Amino acid sequence: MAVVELTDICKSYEGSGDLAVRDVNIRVEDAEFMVLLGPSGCGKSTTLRMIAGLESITSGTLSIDDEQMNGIPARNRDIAMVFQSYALYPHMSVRDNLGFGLKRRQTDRAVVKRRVEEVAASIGLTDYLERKPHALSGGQRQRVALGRAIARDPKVFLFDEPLSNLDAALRVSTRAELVRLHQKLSATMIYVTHDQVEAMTMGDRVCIMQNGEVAQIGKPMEVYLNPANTFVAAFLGNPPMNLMDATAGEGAVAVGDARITRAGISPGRKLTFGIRPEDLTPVDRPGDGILSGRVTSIEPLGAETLIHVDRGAHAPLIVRGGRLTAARLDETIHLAATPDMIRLFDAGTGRALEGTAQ
Amino acid sequence: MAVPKDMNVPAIKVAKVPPSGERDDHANPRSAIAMFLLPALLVYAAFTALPVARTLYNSTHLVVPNRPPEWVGFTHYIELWTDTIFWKAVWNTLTWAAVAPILEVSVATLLALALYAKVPFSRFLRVAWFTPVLMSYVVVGILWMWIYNYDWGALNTMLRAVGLGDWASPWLGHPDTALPSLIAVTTWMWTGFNMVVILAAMSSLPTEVLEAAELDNCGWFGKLWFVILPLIRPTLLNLVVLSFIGKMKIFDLVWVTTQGNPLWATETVSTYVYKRAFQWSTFDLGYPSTIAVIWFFIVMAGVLGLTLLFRQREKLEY
Amino acid sequence: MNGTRISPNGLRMAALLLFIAIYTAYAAGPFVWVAMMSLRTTTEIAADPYALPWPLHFDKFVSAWTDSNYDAYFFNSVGIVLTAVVILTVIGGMAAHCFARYRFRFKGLIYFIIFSTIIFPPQVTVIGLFQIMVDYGLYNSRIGLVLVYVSIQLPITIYILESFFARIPGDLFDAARIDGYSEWEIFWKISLPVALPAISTTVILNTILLWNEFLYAVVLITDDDKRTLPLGVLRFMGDQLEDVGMIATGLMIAIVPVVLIYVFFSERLIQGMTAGAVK
Repeated sequence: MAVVELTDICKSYEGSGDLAVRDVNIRVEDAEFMVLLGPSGCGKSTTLRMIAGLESITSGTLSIDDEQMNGIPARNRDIAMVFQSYALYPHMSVRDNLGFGLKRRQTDRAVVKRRVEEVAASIGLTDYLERKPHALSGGQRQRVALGRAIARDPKVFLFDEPLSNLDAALRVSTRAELVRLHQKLSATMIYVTHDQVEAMTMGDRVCIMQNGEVAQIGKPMEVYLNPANTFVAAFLGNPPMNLMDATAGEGAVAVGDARITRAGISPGRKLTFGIRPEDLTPVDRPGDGILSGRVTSIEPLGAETLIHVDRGAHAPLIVRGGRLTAARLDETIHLAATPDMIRLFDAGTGRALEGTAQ
Repeated sequence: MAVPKDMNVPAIKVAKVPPSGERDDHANPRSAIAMFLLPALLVYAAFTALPVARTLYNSTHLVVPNRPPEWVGFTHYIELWTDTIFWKAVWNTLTWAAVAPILEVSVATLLALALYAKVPFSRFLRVAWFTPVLMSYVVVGILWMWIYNYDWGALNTMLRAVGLGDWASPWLGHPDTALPSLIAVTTWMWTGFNMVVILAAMSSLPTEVLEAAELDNCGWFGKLWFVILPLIRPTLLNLVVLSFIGKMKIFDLVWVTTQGNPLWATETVSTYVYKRAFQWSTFDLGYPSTIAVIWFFIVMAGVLGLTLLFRQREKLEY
Repeated sequence: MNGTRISPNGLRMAALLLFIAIYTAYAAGPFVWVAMMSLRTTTEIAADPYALPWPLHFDKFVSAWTDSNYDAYFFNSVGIVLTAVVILTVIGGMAAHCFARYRFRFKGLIYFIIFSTIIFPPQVTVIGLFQIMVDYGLYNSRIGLVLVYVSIQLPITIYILESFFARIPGDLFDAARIDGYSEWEIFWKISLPVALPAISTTVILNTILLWNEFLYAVVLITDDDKRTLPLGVLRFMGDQLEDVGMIATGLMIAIVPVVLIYVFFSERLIQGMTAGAVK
């Protein structure tokens, strides 16, 4: 059982008045895989390190299973962490690396030996037990780092961008392995990354952080389909959601030259209009669509085509077309938007308007 | 394409390539190399290599002023074997070279740990601990002779002040305490140096490995024993070897304070060589040269032995 | 960031601080004492060796300087050390540049031979050196001492400079060659300026080591007016045997320049002295 709860957590460093992390509230349920996602400097690693006990908490409470952890040193929190650079003990063999944490808590040598061999088998490194880290490849070192955490059988697993030092192919296979591991162990896992693909594919829930604050927490698809602000909208999805200026009118919203029926917004309010590339469809007649522009480039990707559209004075667009598309370079294209997928945000704060789904 | 009449003649003319010996390597021009290296090599040859060769030559000759050197073969070496003063000097020097490195490196490790753990005033402490390293042995010798002075020296005064007056003694004057007293002086001088080096080595350890140890339930002692010490082992070994070499050649300090007294208790190989070569009325430079040659081999053997004993099998990368 | 470095708690911290306090007294105590004594007369010291200096007899420094040939010793040291350090920097730099930039036969061997002399006990050089200096006519001469000083510091200087020169990217030299510079110009205009930090390190290191050098000076110099400062201080001590106050003043004159260099250049200095010891 391991429920991790952060309440109003703030972090500031000595000498600087600024808050690196501000009013963070996150509750990670037992056996949940929670991903902390965001760009560099958003505070996700700092938050993870506070949970681990490697950084002190300036204000707010951290509790694991309802037990307050603020003052407890890292080694007594029953947490294991997989570091970005693996942090293996360079002078110890794989066997000793795997068993080190265990030996510190468990004195029965036979038990330790058995567990180490179990874990080595599950990560596929039985033949490498006597090697030292410098004689292993990057992927093998990463597995040792993982094995070290598994061997400890902790309450909570923490991951600090563990895949960023691996090559692309290895990253894909390791991602799948981690998901399987989570299912097998049913353990609470908190995972930090800047890669939205990892977040979308691995997380039970995703927590997106921006400038030290939590922007949104939710299941991956929820966050993708209903972003809470323009930052989240633009961060998830590749290519990102198309965002452009709009103004509210009487019972409608004006976007570029088009108008969309929408009630309940005070007229004159400045808005941001968002629609994802896959929710725009090219249409033949100008009247059927709401947006139009000139095609400036066509990128055939094999499975689909990305169409870049320039709209003169307005923001440009990207559209996902099918494998074959009728669009031609430098021609005018007209686009219709799937009505349910239109998202509206306040232009000043960036926050999504209530009840945007029609 | 027309078929050439003679198949053995090359179809195009090729420039003749000179044989490799005549080609000058433009990336490594010999004249430049010579110009850069020659001054240093000349100084080295004239003031280091030649003297060593001369000393070697001396060791098998009787070298007396105003007479040409006389070949005596291995007479000096045999004489050395029964020279009790020489053996006493060897004993003293080896004791010094064995005890001092242990003291200097272990105390230095503790001091480095203290600074690593961020005690207050660390900048001031670093200065205070390192300054002895910069002093000339002459200054150090005179200073410590005063400290060890029986009547008004700092050590005895302190002992008397706390009621341990019985322990007050003529530190440098008694055969049993003279050598240990001098060892305390060299420890005073060099521990600060070792401390700075060890601190630098500790600070360059990857912090993530220490964090991993923290999560693996290591308190400060666990981290020290399982992670820090093993990873700075090469540095510690280096310092032990440096200290060993330094003590094997020690001369200045002894010369300024006791000149080997009382009763050869502080005689070192260096001071003995100096005395035999420049002070005693035997005037023979051959005998002290012999001592120097033997000592050279002993030092080399010692360094080799230490390195082999404590070296790490593989180089750790981190 | 607490918890990751070592942070001993209450009792352990107290024990650590006690240990530090004792060691600091051991390390710095002697200096404080000598500084105090240097400002007191011998009679004052005989009465109470540990009292604070009052009145402060700054005139002792003046009389030590003028009365006992101290100024000659000081200037000898300055001249000899300065000359030796300049020569060391130039020819050491040339050799280091050569090792770092070029490949040639026997390079490894030559480097090894030069470098291994760091381990030699001076006893094995000193006797032969004495004889050779007499033969060269350089015995008891300041120039002779300068050359000997250059030779003893050459290996460590080349070692430190070579590792720095080697880090300069080779492309810089190729570009200079294409621009028409000769090998000598490349050395002066590129290697030396870029390696200025390492050079300043070796200059400071050599200055301090040679300023304090004793053995070779005592073997090779016999005339009083050619003596360097360490020899001078010793002779001073011999003359003044019971005049503790004057000797203390003399010691301070020898200590103060070194301490000043340390105060101003501590980072460089520490780097230089510990070069090669950290692995």
